[in-house]
Amino acid sequence: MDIILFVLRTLFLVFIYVFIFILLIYLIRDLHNTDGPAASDVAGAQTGDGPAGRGVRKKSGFGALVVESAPREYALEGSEYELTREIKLGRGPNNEIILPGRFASNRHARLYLRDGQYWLDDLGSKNGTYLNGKLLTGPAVLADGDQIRIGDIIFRFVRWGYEVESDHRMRSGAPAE
Amino acid sequence: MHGRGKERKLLLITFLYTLTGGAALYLRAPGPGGLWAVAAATVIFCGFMLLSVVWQRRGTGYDLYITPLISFLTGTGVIFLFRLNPAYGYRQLAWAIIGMAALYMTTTLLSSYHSLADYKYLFALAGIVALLLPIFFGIELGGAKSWLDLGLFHFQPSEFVKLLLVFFLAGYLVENRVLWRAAGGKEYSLPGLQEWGPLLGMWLTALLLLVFQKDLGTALIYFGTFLAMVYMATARLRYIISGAVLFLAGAAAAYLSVGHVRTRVAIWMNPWATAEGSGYQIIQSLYAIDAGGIFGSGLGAGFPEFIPAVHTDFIFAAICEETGLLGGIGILVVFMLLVYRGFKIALIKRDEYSVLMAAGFTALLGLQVFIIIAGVTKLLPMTGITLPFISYGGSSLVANFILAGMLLNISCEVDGA
Repeated sequence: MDIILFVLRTLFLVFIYVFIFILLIYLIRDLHNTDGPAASDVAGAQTGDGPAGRGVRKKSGFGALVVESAPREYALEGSEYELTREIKLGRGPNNEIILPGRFASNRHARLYLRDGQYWLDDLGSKNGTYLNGKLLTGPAVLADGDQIRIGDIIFRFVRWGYEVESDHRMRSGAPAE
Repeated sequence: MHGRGKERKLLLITFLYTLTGGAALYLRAPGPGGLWAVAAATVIFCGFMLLSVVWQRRGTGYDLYITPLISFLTGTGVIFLFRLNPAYGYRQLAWAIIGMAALYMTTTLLSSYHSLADYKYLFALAGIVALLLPIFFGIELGGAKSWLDLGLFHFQPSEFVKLLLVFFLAGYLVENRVLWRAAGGKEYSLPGLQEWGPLLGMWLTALLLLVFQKDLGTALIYFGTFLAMVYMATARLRYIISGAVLFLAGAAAAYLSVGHVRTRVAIWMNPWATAEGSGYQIIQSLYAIDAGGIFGSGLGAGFPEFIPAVHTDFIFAAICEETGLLGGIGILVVFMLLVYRGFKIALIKRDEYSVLMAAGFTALLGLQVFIIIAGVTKLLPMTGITLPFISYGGSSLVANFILAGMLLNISCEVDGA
């Protein structure tokens, strides 16, 4: 009886480490995986402005939204947000880019990819979204270098890789060229 | 779509571990206590397996490692409680079942947790009310007046207020982060009153309440979590520094004015001066850890009953005595892996609300483990709080299961769009 008890007590201790050992193997494998194929899923993630400046700045994905000017107290100037398939801008926590400030609405505007082009759409904001200085009235296609203004923050839209020539399509809100 | 095989394999190992523990308890003293320990291991295993299968069916992308980790810790807790006193074991098992139900409810009801951000001030208010209740209607247990007597069981609101604190801070900091951050820039100005007013108010209220309730450990956790989350949101070291200064000032004031605090510090400095009185507990704890040596005396072969409150605050001393240095370090590693997983979840999220919430919950958990284990091993003055998932205590266990449920919600790969 005593010998069984001894074996059980030893096993109890051993199992703690068996658990930790197998868990560690899984976790290390998990770490390797996140370097590999899974990275493409997050490549387009917003990296410039995570809390405590996490993430690496990678020139991948589709392009970026750069803060061109913003009031000093927002401390946003120069921030870069990488483009994903869809980016929502606004004051609420549901947005990928959370805008500070008095002029932004909870759900303010949206950038999305369709047919290889980026579109900008206002989501019924109170103070409006301006594309190259003109109030946006409907969805508009974005071209490299476009300026987007929301309240007192001005973003510049930067597209990497294949750029779209702006006069191939109808663009509302853009200056006539 | 998401295989949960790894999760189930780890759960199986946890089951073998707790089953071995239960069997050892039964062989040591055949009787209903040992049998129930075996049954408890089975019940916890089945509960978590059921959750795993349900999640697999639904194809949710919950983190695979959180549930094995918490089932391991809960299992350890239940086994040790059956070993210390089966009466606590039965109740802890009941609480673990309620906890698993709470975990399931959390993952079902709060899966679209982003909408919680809209209710942040409601959370703050609810938290303050929940902290006020024990002052007027509470009962005092073990030097802290933080329990409500609900007839069937004692309920400790401050355990749940921890969760509310993280909910509130995450929602609040996401909205005001930029202003907080700007204040740490080159010009040395604090943010305006409207920015830090509510936060400072919440913090002061929490601390004052806890001074009245004499629950020092919880006050320390609240403040630590608050600082950790502010730092994660702003990346400004000056908030940590000013927070530490505030804390030291508060600690000095508490030392001078609150007798309870002075006793705790005196025990910490030299427990031997009052070895038969107030220092008895910590001395017994140190003896127990020492008696365990490297391999421990074996489950059920030590004498941890000598430590007062061994089933709650000092359960880590009992673990160290019976499984030795190896067991104690093992438990610490499991906690570290849980914290690692929590921060990993925070790191892969894109939106700041999720990041702050995951990191806040993880910091809360990590701080709690650190503070209580530091207390038990006399690294810091003892402050009576529970060891998450292991200590006896229904409120604590259920609150921690909800916390784990929130981590799972946040880890879910479907970004809250």
